[in-house]
Amino acid sequence: MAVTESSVTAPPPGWGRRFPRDEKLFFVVIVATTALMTAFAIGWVLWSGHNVPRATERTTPAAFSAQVQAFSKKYADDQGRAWVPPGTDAYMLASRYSWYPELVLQAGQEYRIWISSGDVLHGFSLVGGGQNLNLEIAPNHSFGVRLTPDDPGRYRIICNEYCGLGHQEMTSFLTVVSPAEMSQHVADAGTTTGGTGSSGSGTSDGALKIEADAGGALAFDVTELTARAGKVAITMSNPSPLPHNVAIKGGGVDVKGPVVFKDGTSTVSADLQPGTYTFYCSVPGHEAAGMKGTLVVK
Amino acid sequence: MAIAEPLPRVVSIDRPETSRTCTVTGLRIYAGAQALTLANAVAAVLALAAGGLFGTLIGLSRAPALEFLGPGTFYAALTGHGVAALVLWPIFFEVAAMVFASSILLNARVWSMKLGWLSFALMTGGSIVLLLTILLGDASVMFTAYPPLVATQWFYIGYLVFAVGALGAIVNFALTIVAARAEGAQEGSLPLITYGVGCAAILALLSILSGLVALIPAWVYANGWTGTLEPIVYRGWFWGLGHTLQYVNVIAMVVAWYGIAAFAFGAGPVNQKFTRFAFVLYLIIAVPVLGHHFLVDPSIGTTTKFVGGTAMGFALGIPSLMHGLAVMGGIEAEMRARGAVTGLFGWLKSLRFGHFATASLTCSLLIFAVGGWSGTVETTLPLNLVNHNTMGVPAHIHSVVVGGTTLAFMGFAYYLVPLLSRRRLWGGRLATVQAYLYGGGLLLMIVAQTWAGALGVPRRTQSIDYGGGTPGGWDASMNLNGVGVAFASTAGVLFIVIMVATLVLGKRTDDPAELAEPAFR
Amino acid sequence: MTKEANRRFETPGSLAIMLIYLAMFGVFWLLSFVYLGLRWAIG
Repeated sequence: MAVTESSVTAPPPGWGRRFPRDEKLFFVVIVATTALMTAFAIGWVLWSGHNVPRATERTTPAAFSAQVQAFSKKYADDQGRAWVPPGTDAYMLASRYSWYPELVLQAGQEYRIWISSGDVLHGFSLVGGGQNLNLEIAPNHSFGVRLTPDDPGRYRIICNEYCGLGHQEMTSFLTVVSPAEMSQHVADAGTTTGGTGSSGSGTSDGALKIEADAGGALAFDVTELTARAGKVAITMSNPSPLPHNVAIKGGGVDVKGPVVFKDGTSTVSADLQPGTYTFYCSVPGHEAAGMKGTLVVK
Repeated sequence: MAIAEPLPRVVSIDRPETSRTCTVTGLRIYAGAQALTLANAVAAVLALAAGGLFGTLIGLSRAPALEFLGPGTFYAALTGHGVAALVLWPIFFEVAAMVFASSILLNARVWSMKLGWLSFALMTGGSIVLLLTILLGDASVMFTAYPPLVATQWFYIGYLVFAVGALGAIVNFALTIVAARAEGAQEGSLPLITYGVGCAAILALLSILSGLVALIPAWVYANGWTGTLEPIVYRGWFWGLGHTLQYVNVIAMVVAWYGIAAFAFGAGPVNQKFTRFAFVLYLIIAVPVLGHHFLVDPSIGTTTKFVGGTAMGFALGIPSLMHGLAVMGGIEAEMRARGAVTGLFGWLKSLRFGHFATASLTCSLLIFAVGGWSGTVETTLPLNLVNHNTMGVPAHIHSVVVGGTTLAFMGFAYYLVPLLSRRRLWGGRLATVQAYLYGGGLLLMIVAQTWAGALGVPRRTQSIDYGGGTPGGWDASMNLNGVGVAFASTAGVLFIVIMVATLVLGKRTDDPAELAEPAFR
Repeated sequence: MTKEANRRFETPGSLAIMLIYLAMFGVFWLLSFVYLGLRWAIG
């Protein structure tokens, strides 16, 4: 213990000793480095274009879901992909376990995309095409992300904030198309009011009626349905802020109704022989979480 | 040394107790203090075993070449890993250090053995409840438990009971020091280890109080007694607990560094003022840094994010760098005093790198240094965009908590446990192998996880298949991580084996040469 | 230079190690901004 002031286990005799040169020099160097780094970082935040989005709004799952629904009603095609004309704000809802709708953007255009959650915390993570962009998505808050995609392509989006047992299935894409493709699509779509809005045509003539859980649980209100052989229709109403649909599969049948949001109605129908089929919600992760039932056709 | 006035009743210790004198350090060790320290140390090692087991399972399963856990099991095991490895293991060990630093190191008795054992019982009981709810699959919410995700109410109860137990240990720590000084057992400045542990205890107090504010409403919400719980508010209070707690771990790690240096090399810091000032800097700067958890959150202002997360985060590097210099400098000064004066680095040749103390201290310093770099990058506001919730975050966590704190605790335990139990460390050079294997495995994991994070691989995710078509390098990086996990886990098991074998089979001895072998020539 | 350092400083070896680490640290931190620019997706 010759030169060190004292052992670490016994109290020191006194603190009179001055700082040695090494420690003085080092302290000055690290404080200066810290100050320089802070200044550089401030400069970057203020003057570079590469920053965390500042636009956020307070909202609620129900309110944001209504905005998403209005947006997708206007712009979505029958594949559930929303083609966003330049200059239009886009909307995307994160919920267990999907990103909805899938956005199609025009290359070289600046867009603002509003993202929020309909249920729990999610992590928006753009990982495709050499990108790596990550944001925290919370219910009651929306993020307005400004984005100018350069090259056409399909860029993968995943969720990177643990959100439940189907977290690893929560993936989608951001599609970027050339200006020619976008204007072609807009021309083709013409004046049609778009695909994935509610499709509540006539719930009459014996269609089976079911409802999605209003509180946001991934479940229908019934798990068993019976019907007579022939044309079978199931109508699902959705009082929750999450996207749902109803679909039928089994015995060579595989049909899906449109995905709808709060207060929307989704109908699916098929010609069924006697037998047992499954009705379910085809939004990723929902069937696995229990949003399904048995359809017995006699 | 006589006391002028009678002690205030609340502080005086009114019980007889046997003691012995340590043949190595000359310290007066009371039976109660020894038992309480060892009990908490043993509980810590058991928690480490649980955390390590969970970690091995998930680390191997996340290698796409192996992937053997389904979502239900994976997320339960991941929650268990977070709770056992990041909460239970460090806090139990820190309580052991608190008992040690307030009583044994001061030649004093614990203020209240009743409070000590009650705290231990609460912490143990809370841990068991926590782990049971996780094993039953009713609490797969990660150790962060962000609402609106909810677990069974017993999960929160387990957390709260554990927290209250730790609070009791902190109170006991403070009053033990007061009593020791009042009884005249200790005078003047506190020894450096006690001073450092005291700083850790203050931060621990702040973090637990913040945790109570976060977890009690979460428990209420989980029971369905309130309609909503704003997730960003919960995150604020939770990280008031969570990140402040990481600085408890950092301070405790630094204390372990000095402890190892003292036992192994007879070295202390060259200047007490510098070192103690560095400890106080942690106290001043640690709390606002919780802001770095919000860097890419909505509804929080850029200034708040920058000042709390980035500016304070940079500042917090200053005390760690100071300690880095002080620990190494102390050893260097000691070696130079003993005659090693060749060139700049000649003193390194005096260190026995085949000794477990040199091995664990070197690995701990090195890997913590890597973690300091990744932490600084990730706390920089714009840089967090490419880091948040990618594998870059576990890369940082495993650098500082496992490479830094856990390795330092292991090295310190290799002295503490033999000295307290008076049994020679079992396995001889096995402890050295363990330290290097752990360090090497961890470095491989960190390289792999940093690579994966740079590619955008997500954390806390059971499978990265996504139906095919994920970016190149995703599978390769996570498979490499699996290799690192295999090495580190083996070394982890080795540590548990050495500790248990020492307590059960270690040769009974009082010989300083056998209990605390020096690590220099 | 080594003899100079040995005379002026009490723990020149440790000081050298820490200064080298600090320099590497700064370089890697700055390189991260380059990486951010390469992975850029939003404006």
